[in-house]
Amino acid sequence: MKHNIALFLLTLSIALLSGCWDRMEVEDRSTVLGLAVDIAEEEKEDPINHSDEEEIPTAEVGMIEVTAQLAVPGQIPLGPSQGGGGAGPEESVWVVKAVGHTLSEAVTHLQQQLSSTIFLGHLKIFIISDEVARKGINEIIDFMKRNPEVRRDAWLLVNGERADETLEVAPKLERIPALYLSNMLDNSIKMGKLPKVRAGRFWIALENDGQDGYLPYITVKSKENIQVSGVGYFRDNKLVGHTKPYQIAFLNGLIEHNPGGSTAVVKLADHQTVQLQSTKRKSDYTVTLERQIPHFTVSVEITGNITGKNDEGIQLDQNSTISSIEKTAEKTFKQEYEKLIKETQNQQSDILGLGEHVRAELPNYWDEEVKSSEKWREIYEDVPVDVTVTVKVEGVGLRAK
Amino acid sequence: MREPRQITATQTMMTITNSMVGVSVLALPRIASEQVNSGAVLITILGLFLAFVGMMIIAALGIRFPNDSLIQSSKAIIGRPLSYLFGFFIFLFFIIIVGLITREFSFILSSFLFPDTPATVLIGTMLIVVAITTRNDITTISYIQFVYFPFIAFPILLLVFLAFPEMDIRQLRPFVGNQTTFQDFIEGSLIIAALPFVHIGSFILSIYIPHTQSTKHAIRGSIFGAILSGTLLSLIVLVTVGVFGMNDVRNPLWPVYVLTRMIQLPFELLERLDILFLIIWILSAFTTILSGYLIVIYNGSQLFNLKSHRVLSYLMLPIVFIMALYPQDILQLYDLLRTVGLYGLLITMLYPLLLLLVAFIRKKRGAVNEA
Repeated sequence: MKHNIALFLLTLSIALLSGCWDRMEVEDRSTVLGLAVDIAEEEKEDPINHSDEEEIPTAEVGMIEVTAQLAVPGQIPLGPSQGGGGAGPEESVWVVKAVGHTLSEAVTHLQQQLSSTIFLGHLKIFIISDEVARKGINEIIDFMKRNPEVRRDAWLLVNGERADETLEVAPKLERIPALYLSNMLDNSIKMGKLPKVRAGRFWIALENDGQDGYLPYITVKSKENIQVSGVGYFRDNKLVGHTKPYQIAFLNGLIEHNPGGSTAVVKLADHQTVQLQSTKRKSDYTVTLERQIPHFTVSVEITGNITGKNDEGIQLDQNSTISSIEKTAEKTFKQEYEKLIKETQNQQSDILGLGEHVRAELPNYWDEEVKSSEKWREIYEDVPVDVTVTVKVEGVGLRAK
Repeated sequence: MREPRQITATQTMMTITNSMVGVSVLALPRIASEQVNSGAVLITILGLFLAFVGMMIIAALGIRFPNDSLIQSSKAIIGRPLSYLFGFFIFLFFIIIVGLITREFSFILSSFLFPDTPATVLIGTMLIVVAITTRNDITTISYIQFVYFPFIAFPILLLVFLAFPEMDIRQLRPFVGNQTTFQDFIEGSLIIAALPFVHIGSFILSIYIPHTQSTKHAIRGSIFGAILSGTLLSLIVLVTVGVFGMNDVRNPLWPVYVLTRMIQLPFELLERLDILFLIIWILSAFTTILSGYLIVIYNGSQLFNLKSHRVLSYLMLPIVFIMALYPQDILQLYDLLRTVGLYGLLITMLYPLLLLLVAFIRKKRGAVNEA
């Protein structure tokens, strides 16, 4: 009897433990590395999940065109040793387009064109066109969050023009454009040039009551390269504006992104400038309630090195020069910080999360006066913010003067 | 059959921790935050303190009746018929709880690892492994828990450690939450205390007491176990809410799993840690379901006057299995867990308290024959 049971269990375990249900060969998967969402220019589709007699409502964006960059199996280099030569981007990736009422419908349509199952687990970049982002991205975010394969460390980007252009870019350094772009952004974080705004961080900011999200704003340069040209900031789920490229450095200072690395030009006199590269940033926020209005004091501390000067007349070996550089930099930076904050205030987009400070540190005020994120945005528009800046120059490089 | 008394305080502590850190942990920050938004950490501590009190009630009963399990001592305290009635409730309650958490386990696995594997297979495999394990005596089971303990406790600490730099302190404040009332906190801490792993963690103690080396070991083990598991669970809620904030933590069904997708080892040693943590979580699910299943068959065997809990090891399997298949979808499952769990507080906390009071009034004591 005992042997029979053991035999039965053994046989059963062969059937149950082998796990054949979820066997999936790499070749059977369409690995999507990049997705781009645009507004469909022509509104025609061959519906596959609804009858075409019926009028189907769209999400806030309208008809969507989705472009996917798929990895072609066997063409992806496995390591650095295999790099160089070989196939160019045209052969190692495949770009497919589909149209739909919503993003999830468009992806279904995309699947209809492919023989193998779409796999989003390696999705690196997700690009939204400026136009789409301005109409609202609720449905797009819902799709990304609902799908268990999409990861939070993917990059969500806003493209100034058409998003699909980004996926057709052919960079010289890497075979896969999507990987090149995501590596570029990852390195920008390490070099201190871009805040850590992967999709996960952005979603958190979007959900917070006293905070709005921002995303890298990119533009395509001459069909070959991509440039981060600012951050696009949101009000609720709609893009309302974007900064200039140089302002990212100041945003980094305000949110204390370390290590530093951005360079700023400090104008000493009419024809004299020095390049100041930050190495460390520190920022501190205090909020006080005065006459039922929150007052913010932001103190930013930037430590940096001089990396260049344009005029031999600047005496970098003198303490007085250094301190005058520090003074001038403090003044310029303060203006820039205030300008950046003012711009977001005009658009009611609290990307610094000042509202979160209010919610966290003045809970009574929040519970009585603010309550909701809409109300906070109205208050944020004219909230007074004082910025104080301290700049410390640590080094001037190897040259002694 | 009287088994030898060999379980030590350390093993008791580890078993309680393993049982408390279980399937529902992945959802815990969401459940806590749904009640009192940024007060999630506070409410977890409150809820777990309530659970600690419940555990101490069972331990106090254990001091009075060092050689008896709950059903045996209740016979002496409130008489045979009533003790059978309540014993049957306990039996039934834990069948439901174990079934539901096994289903929750299969839901999570099929969402992330095995999308095409039928739920019956996932549930069945887990229950078969658990049933085979419960064929051992309780001392051996406590050794099994001992072995698994480091694989559960250390990865959680690692997760907390890795997620710590990602935290934003603003997300945790105010500690009492925005726009919350006192009532929210009462309800919330009851809901936390009514989570299935809390029931299992505190009730496993009632089974261990007659098998520990001495009641002192059981008491010491339960206190340390409650503190350790409470700390681990509170830390998990702390980092998860600290990273996601009170609103985004409510979005995913299992925020702790999403957290494992956001963290990285230093120097990018491994790009993806989520699968690693999922495997560890399967271990912790196993230890929790094992404890729950043991409670079911142990109480069952005492209820039906059987010689040992082993008799029911395989017999209970189909019943728990059917219970696991009952919920239609994940939302119904969580609704059921909440309702059943809250009623369960009557069984796992109020009933032992009642027993303790009656025993105190009627001056009932168990036979003291410490070896």
